[in-house]
Amino acid sequence: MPDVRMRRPVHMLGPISSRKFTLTLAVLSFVLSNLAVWPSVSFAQAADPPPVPPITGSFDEKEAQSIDRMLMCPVCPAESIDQAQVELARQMREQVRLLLAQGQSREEVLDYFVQRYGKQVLAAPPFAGISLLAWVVPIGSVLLGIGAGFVILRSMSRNRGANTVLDAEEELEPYMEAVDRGLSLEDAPRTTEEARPGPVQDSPGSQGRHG
Amino acid sequence: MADLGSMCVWIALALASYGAVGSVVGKLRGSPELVASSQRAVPLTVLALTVATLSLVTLFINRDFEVAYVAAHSDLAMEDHFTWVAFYAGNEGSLLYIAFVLSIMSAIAVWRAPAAVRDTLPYTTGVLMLVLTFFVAVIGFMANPFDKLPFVPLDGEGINPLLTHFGMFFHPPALMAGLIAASIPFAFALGSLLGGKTADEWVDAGRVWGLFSWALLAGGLLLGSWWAYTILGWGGFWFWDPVENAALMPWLGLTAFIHSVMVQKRRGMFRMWNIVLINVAFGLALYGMFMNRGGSVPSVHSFGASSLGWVFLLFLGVGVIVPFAVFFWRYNLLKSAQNLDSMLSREAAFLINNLLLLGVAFVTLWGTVYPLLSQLFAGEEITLARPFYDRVNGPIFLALIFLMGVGPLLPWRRATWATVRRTLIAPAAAGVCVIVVLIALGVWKPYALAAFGLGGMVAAGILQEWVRGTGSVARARGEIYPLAFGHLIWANRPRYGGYIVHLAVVMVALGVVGTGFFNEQKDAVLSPGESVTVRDYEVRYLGTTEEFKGNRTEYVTRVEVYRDGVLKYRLEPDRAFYPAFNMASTQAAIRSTPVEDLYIVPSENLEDGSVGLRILVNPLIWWMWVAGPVMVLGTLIALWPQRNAAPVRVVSPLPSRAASLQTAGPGAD
Repeated sequence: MPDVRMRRPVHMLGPISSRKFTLTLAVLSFVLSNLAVWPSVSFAQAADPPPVPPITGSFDEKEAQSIDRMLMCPVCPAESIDQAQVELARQMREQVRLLLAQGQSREEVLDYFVQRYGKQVLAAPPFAGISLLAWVVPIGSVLLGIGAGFVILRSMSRNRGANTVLDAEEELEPYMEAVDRGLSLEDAPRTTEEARPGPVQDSPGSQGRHG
Repeated sequence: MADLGSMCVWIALALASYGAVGSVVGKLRGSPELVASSQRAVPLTVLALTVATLSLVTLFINRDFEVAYVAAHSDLAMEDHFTWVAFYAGNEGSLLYIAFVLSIMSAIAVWRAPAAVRDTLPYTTGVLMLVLTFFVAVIGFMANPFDKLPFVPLDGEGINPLLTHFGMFFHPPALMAGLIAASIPFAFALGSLLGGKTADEWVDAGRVWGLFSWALLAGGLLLGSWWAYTILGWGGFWFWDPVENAALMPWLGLTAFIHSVMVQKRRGMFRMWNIVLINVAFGLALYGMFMNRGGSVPSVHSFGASSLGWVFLLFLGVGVIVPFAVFFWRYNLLKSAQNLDSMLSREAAFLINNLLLLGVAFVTLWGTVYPLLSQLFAGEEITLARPFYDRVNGPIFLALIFLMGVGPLLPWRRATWATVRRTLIAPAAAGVCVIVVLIALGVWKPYALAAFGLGGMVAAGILQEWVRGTGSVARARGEIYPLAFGHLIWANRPRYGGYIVHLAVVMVALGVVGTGFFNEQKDAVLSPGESVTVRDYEVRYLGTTEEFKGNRTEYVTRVEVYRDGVLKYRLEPDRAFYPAFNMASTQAAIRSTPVEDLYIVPSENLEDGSVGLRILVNPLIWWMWVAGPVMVLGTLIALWPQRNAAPVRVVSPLPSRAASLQTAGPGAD
């Protein structure tokens, strides 16, 4: 049996699928903006690399697939080589398996592609150098935000007005009372809560809340 | 017909700008007549845009190829029902759709506005009509779907094959409507602020419309994922593509808003925060539309190439800066009516949940924008794609699920540790049980274990609430349990509707984690008679039939699936090639069960009759698609109007709470 990968598809798959996938993107944007589509087609044709020799030796397909997902297809925007069905992505997948079969590690395989296609071939940059920023800023901001939230909550609760303790049971009670009376109950808990004698501060702004 | 449509666009523009200017000027000058007249312009914009919309539909039905838009998005071979899809297949049509939907929603919002916001309604109308003016002006001046070609082509270019899918009838319109619907709660908030109100009046209207927009976006996102899953042929449903992100971010903002607004509704707190949230959600919705209308994102690098992009960017800038300016101007009106009683309360949990949701939105925004910044300022081209989002957003989502389990079980105001222990012990135990069982079954993936455990906790917590509540109602009213359960849910619809939505979220999480961590994928090239085994499915390829169908050649792949040597299914995934588009579309064969999906898609058909198949086993993804209807049900329950709301609102101008209580109390009896 000849190597299956060398057989020619019925239709030139490279360009077809590349257009399909860029179109996919555009459709996801609710709409087809054809302008965005055409350039990448010619791109795909230009960037056909030499075919990969047949693979001898064994490799872990799971590992190969997880590497596939870490590499972007250089000619189709925003897709990994695992998703993209253009010829180039197909060959890159073959290359990943070939390198793995040669005994290379995940890092070595990724390095191989970075050297060929530049750093942007990685689906996410490494935790190093200037691209560290890509990771640190969002993680830092989220942590800072949460921290700030705690500080704000702390300061809001410091000058507390009411000391009424409501627990879940108590909160449920008014519903049940209201149910007994056969009411429509949406406001039951609130009414009771506010009717509760206690240091709940009245303020001019709170009137509208009865709705 | 094209002239009629075009004329209606201009009439709508005149009406919308009159409505915008008139209502605000009328309010400022104290002229109720002018205000009333401008508010009458709102339903008239609906009329004008309805005629414009119907004109475009008629042009499509007639295949009037003199109209450039019709020629670009349909052809003689197109079946008539695809007119619905062709309508929004391009910029011009989708802008018309957005304007049409906005006019309808504005008219309903103004007409059904609660009494509490009546005073500031002119400002709200002004804001809504201003947004509408923008869209109609863009249609009129820059993207008119009624523009004619200098000649009449014999046939159109045809509708894109990827659009001829069932999901496409609902996914784009739901998302576009959801994005533009965010303007309504935003307009109520901004109107209330401009009118100098104390900032609680808008909350009810804001909540209802916020939920409406949220539900449309949620439904649209799920439908989009389902569409991607069935037709894109790589077996996934979400890949943090910039355009997906653009729709996800406003949804996150609105999710934060619909939670936080409950705190204001119930406790009179978080007033500033809610204004900030709705402004952010509106800004993100505009950003979403900018991403999609101004050229798709891979070409964000060149959005200047499309002048539409710049106009949208400008509007985005105004739409973000002005509301925040008003916010700071009216800052002192927004003081909380209540203090926070305790860090251990539902209010506090909601605030943290809000921050986490905004965190996900920020990470997502960062992921779309940073590669540009990096290229501009550091000269380094990098990509932030799925692994980035998975790694950064994944843990935040876990924290959100945790809060989803804890938050609703905490009481308002203040909990004691004793209460917390009492309410949380069962759900926590359930979560731990799930983890232990999974470990016993040999699952050893910390992330997935955490997600399943937390999901179990949330579900158990909700179940506990239902059981306890139903028990109390049944005891109190002597009813049988199903009836009592119905009464319980009906008694506090926002809360119990919310629980149902939370269950749906857990179901989505099941699907995401199940496929993300436990799926198996195999690509194989098979000759007729050969077979391949994935997990315990043996897939045998029988052959391919080629059939020419008008605008496409269909390659129907026949496969048999055996399990334990027994024939289980005969499947026919197909791949169609469209010569006019020089592109192929695939229709995966999917056998779905709650346990796992078997997913087979042909990726290539070779000359010698062999076929390239991608075969996946996706565990638990079924739950994700079932979550959609559950989510809709929950939202409907939460949104269902509360009949006793109106009379209470009438008494709201009374000077003190005690007085309003006296009126409401006996009246209710």
